[in-house]
Amino acid sequence: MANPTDSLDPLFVPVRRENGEQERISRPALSAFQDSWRRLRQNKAAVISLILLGIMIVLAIVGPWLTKYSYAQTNYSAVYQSPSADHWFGTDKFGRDQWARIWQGTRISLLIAVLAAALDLVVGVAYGAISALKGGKVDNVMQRIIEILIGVPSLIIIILLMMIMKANIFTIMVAMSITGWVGMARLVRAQILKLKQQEFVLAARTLGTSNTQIIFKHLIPNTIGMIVINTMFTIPSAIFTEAFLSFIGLGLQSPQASLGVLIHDGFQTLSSHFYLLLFPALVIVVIMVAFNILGDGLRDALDPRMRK
Amino acid sequence: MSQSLLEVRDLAVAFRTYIGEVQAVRGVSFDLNKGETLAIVGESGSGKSVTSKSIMRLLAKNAKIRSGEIRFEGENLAAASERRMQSIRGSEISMIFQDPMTSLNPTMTVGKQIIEVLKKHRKLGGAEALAKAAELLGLVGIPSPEKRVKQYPHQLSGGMRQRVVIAMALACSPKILIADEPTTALDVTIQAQILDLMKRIQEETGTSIILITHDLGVVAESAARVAVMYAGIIVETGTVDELFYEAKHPYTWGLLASMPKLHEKTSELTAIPGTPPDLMFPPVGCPFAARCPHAMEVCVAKMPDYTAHSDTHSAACWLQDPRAQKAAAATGASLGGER
Amino acid sequence: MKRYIAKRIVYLVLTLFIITTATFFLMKNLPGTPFDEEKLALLTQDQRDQIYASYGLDKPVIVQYVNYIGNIVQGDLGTSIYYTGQDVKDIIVDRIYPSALVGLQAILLGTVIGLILGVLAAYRHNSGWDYAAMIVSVLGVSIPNFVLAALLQYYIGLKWGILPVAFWESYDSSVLPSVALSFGVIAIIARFVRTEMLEVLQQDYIVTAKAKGLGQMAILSRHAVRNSLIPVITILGPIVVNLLTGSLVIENIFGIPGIGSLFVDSIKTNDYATIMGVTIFYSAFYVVVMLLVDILYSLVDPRIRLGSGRE
Repeated sequence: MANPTDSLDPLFVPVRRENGEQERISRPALSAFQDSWRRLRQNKAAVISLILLGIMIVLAIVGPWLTKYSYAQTNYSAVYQSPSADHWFGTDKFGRDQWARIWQGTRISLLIAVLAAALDLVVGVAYGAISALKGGKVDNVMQRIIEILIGVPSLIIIILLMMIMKANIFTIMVAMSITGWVGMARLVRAQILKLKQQEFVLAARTLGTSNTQIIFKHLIPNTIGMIVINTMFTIPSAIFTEAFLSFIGLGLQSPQASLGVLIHDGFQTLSSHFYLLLFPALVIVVIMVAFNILGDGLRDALDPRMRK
Repeated sequence: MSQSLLEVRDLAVAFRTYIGEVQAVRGVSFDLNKGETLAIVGESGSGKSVTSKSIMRLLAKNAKIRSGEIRFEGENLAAASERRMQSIRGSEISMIFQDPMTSLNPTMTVGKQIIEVLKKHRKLGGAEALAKAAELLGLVGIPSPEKRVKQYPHQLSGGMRQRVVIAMALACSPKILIADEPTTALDVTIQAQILDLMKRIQEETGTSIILITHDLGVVAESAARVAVMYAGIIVETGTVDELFYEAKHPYTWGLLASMPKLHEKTSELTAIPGTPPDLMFPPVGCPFAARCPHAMEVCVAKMPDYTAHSDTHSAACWLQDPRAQKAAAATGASLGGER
Repeated sequence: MKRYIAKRIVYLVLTLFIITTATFFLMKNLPGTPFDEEKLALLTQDQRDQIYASYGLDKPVIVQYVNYIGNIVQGDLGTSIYYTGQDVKDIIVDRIYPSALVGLQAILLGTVIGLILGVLAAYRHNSGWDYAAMIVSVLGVSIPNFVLAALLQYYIGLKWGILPVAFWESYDSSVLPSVALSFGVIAIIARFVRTEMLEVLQQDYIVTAKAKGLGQMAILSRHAVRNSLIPVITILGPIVVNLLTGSLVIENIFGIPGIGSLFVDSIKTNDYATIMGVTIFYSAFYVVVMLLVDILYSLVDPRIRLGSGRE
């Protein structure tokens, strides 16, 4: 039996309750964006990567101006100088200042990568979205084209294209995007097809929501995370491709500078002037690592279930 | 309580999560007798699954048994070594899970998955184990078992897979079979078949069964005794008849009222308003007070003790306190039991 | 299954045809010629015409194209211009061994280390192993393989003199390039296996296995690891591609007489017959590997039946 305690006696009266209290939600609601941002900030590695990338971008913009030397200016009386107070990263075989060249090169490499990623994004999203939204015959034909392109070893095609085009920022970007958009197109199509099947879209449709509204209210918001993530991984792979092309002699050429050009030049004097390879190699590695970690972080933050 | 096979006393389990600790089970006690079926009923999040997983010590890594004892034939499983638990799992105590679509390994034939248990606990090998596996599949009503042992789970229907899971659980004739929502993921017609199968198996083997469910229909059909859980606490226990006809706890009333009634004319379903409390900050008083239509100030202030109504029937509710009866009589309010 | 493979082969042939065609016309637009311009200038017009005619370059482009396709169907990849008179097919065949040796070693090394790292990382989730594996995999995908190769060459080859750095002399010459190539493979596989196994460890059937009374090792080896390894087959395709492209520069850096360095050399000398030959060889290799990977996957995973239930 209950153990009667006198102090409890007065409490045997109906409880006073405010209206609606039963349905109160006890934790504050966060928007999807706030929630993702909170998760990203908790990821220390991603935050550090973000800061590192910020520093790299700032240096790529202002770095070349911090020294009195320009990136293409030769000085035959000061060749192969080791890093010093005058030439912070040393000079190359033409006496060009490496500090200026490295940040100029970073600027060009980032520019090419961002442009190529943007082109992939525009073409890929448009192609994927049209394919998924139109459906039927259009989708069928567009998918056949993709199936053929997916079988193409893209780097080989990029190399062949670069052989007939004069290397500059624009041609490199175009060559990389010729096959680069396919991945994005497939992802976007798959995602939209998946969303179209899902109950909340069906529900919206049943409620008489127009197609345009479905696209803007449901399809785009639910696809954007995936597009951002994919782009975050396209950029480092474009940086890699640019460097690769320069390294085999098909990219930009000296006196122009890009990270690939600098690594290529540095490799020529590997045994005698290692610093010429080391600094650009470090910069490219830091940028690639930062982009990859940030991409991972974004993926976890935007959609914790999409970890593949 | 002459021959309790399993005695659970004051079991408390908590989960660590990244925003705090969730008190999933907060002092649960019950007994399981030889050969009987005990149903644990409650809505999702009530702690019924956690309780059953604690018995098997199958809790996730972030969960911890805070206090209490789980005595199986006198041995406290809450303190047993992992090695000892391995020899008990699948052999003395077995478990059937909710979703037969995911509880079988998709890349292994069903035969091999049954043989694994036989190898581990019965040291059977080769042809002998295969024959036994086929025999078990036959026992749980799978046609042409010799053919089925060589098939993969995806080649079987949901009901068939659940039969395979049951066969696997029965492989070593366990003393206790814990069935965690065994029919929830199945079609209604298949549900009845699976429940019949479990009943038949109990009659043939004398296994005790703990049936975890949220479905009172399933309880009425297959259990002898029922424990109703809410917010990590057993609020009422009794035989099926006691629970269905003489329920004392307002939560049980609510559950009974929310059951769809085919034989009655009304087409309305009665829901219990509100949501269960956040177990990260469990209430000091009765956890149901916030949703209870009969709540008193005392309910919010202090958790009630159990009041026994018969040898088998008890409930934790302040309404059973004589002072509540007096107060009700004074105000002329009616006090439940209207069913 | 048969229909699916047949369909895939049709696509495969179509893809190869398009690549061949594209390559052919791209090469026709190549600036410069593969011939030594200075020597060519010394010859008379007749002699020059004779040389062009010997390579079939005097005919209209469309005829050259038809001839080329016809020859390829018969397995003839044409004649190299830089390596005067040699069959492109023979040059490629001669160079398969070094490429295959380095590539296979890299796959083997990378897969074994990657698997171990990935499994450990998932099993000891959020432990030192996990962090180590994650760091390795991020570095592996982030460090361009030619940068890594250059660094390896500088430290291990030049500074410490442990292994030969250039020239294809003995088996030892294949060690450094294999290591340089394997790093990317380790990264891809470790990362993939880790994610896959973390996923598998959360599956209900792992709890079922535990409920059967199986020990930790049995659950890991029979249920968790096995099931997380099956999907690894799907990334073998990208890995092979990774090795192909990697080998282009790695072979160049380490002076390996393989197909990759042949390709880079022929680019530098404008030897378009060889460029086309290697392109077709690479593309054929690539599409066939992709197809084999898909078929292999369907054989290993009982759930997958090609052409049904999957796109």
